[in-house]
Amino acid sequence: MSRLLQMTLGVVTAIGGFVDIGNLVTSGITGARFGSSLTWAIVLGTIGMTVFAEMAGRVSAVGGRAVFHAVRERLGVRVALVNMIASLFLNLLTLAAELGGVSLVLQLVTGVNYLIWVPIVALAAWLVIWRLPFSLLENVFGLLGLALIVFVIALFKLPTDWHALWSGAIHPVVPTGEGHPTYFFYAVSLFGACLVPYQVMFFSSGGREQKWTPESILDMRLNAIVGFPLGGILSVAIMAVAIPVLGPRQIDVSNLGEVALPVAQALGVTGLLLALLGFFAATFAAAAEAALSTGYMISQYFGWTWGKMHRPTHAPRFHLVCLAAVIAACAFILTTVDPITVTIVSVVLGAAAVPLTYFPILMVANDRDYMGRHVNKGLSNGLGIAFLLIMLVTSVVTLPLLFITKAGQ
Amino acid sequence: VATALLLAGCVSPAVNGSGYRGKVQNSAKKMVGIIDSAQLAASLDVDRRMISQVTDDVVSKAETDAQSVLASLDSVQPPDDPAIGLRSRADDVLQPAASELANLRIAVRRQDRATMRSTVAELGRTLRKVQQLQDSV
Repeated sequence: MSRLLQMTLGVVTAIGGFVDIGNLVTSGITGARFGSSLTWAIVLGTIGMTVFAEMAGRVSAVGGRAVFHAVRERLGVRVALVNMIASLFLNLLTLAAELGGVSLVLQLVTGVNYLIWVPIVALAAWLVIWRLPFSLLENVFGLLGLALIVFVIALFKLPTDWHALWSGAIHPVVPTGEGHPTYFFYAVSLFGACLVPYQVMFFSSGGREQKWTPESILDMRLNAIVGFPLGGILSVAIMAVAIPVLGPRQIDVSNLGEVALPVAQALGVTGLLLALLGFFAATFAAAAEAALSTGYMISQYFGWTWGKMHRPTHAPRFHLVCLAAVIAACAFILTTVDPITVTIVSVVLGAAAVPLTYFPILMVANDRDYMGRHVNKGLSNGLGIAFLLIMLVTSVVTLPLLFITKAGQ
Repeated sequence: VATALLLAGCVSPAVNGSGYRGKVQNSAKKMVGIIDSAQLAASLDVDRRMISQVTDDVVSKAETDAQSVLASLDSVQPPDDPAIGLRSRADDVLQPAASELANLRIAVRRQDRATMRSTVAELGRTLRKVQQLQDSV
C-alpha cells in the first residue's frame, strides 16, 4: 500500500510540476488568439518531454549519470563548456521569469507592486533550496500545483463548444487576421514551454538525489509517461478555457490576471483563488527547480560535489552557484523588464537550444556499456531521433520568427 | 551593420495613406481587446465573482495599455489631409475609451459597484464606436 501511495504521489507531483510560467502564459495567449488550432504544439512538446525525461531518468537510474555529467562525457570539455554557457543563460532567463511570475501572482492577491515582492520571493526560493528536503520540495509544490485542475473543471462549466474545440485541434488552420509567421512563432513558444531544458536536468539530477537504481525505473517511467502527459492536459485546459471567454472578445492576453478570468467566470471567487494558488505553486516550484538545475549543471560540469543529499557544508560550491543564480535572476527582474516578455523570450530561446541538452541524452541512452539491458530500444530511439529532428528544425526557425514577428506582436 | 540596425530601430518609419489607415485600424483592434478585458473583469467583480485586487490589476493594466496605444498612434505623422481627418476621428473615439478606463479604475479601487456598473455600460457604448472605427477604416 505504501509503495502504491508513493507511486501515486510521484505521478501526481509530476502533473503539478509540469506546468510553469511558460505554459501558463503561452497557453493563455494562444487560446485567446488562435483557439485550439495550436493544441498540436502542446501535444508534440509533451510527448517530446516525456520521451527524453524517460531516457534521462533511465540514464540516471542505470548509468548513475545526471544530464550534464553525460554532456561533458560525450561532447568533450570544450563543446560542453559552450553548451553549459548557453544553458546557464537560458536557466537564468527562466529563473528570472519564474521569480517574476511568483511576484506577479502575489501582486494579484495583495495589490502590492510585484517589484516589491521580487527580492522577498528570491529570498524565499533560496531558503527553500537551502533548508527544505528534496522530497518535500517536490511533493508539496507538486501537490499544490494540482490546484490548476480548476481550469479543467472550468472547461466543463463554461459554454464550451466541444465539437469546435476538437475540430480546431485536429484540423489546425491559421485564424483569419493572423499571419503564418505569428502562428508558427507561438507554436514554437508552446513547444519550447513544454521542453524547457531545466526540467529534464532537474528530473535526472533529482533521480540521483533520490538514489534511483534500476529497480526505480518503473516509478520513474510512471512519473514521466503518466504524470507529464497529464500535466500537458492542464496546459491544454488553460488554452481551452480562454477560447469561449477571451477569444470572442479579441482580448490579447498580456498578464496572469487575464489568464485567470475564464476561471472566475466559470467558478467565481473560489475557483479564482484556487487558480492563483496553482499559479503560485507552479511558478515557485519552477523557480526553485531552475535555480537548483543551475547548481546541478555547473557542479556536474566541473565535477564538484553536488545535490541537496549533501549538507551545504559538504557541497558549498553547489549551494553558492544556486544562490548566485537566484541573485542574478532577481537583479535582472528588478531592472523592471516585463516578466511576461521575459517568459516568452525564454521559452522561445529555450526551443532554439533544446538539441544541446537532448542530443547527449540520446547518445548515452544508446550506449550499451553504460545502460546494459536498459539501453534504448527501437521505439525510444525512433521517437528520440524524430523529436531531435523536430528540435533541430525548431532551433533553426526560432530566431528568424522572433525577429520577423517582433516576438509575436 | 549594428549601427544601421540601431538607427533603423530608433527612427519611426514614414507611412503613406494606406499605411496610416493600417495603423489606425491596428490601434482600434488593440483598443477593442483592452476595453473588453477591463469590461469583463469589472462585470465579474460587479457580480461578485472576482477578487478586487485582480480586477484592479486587470483594469489598471488596461488603462496603461490604452494610454500606450494612444501615444503610439500619436507618434505617427499623418501623411496627407485625409489621414489628418482620420486621426481626428480616431482621437474622438479612442481618447474617451482611455478616460473611461481611468474612471473604471477609480471606481474599482473605491469598490463603488454602482459607478463600476455604469462605467462598464459606458465602455460598452464606446466599444461599439471603436469597433465601427476598426471596420470602417
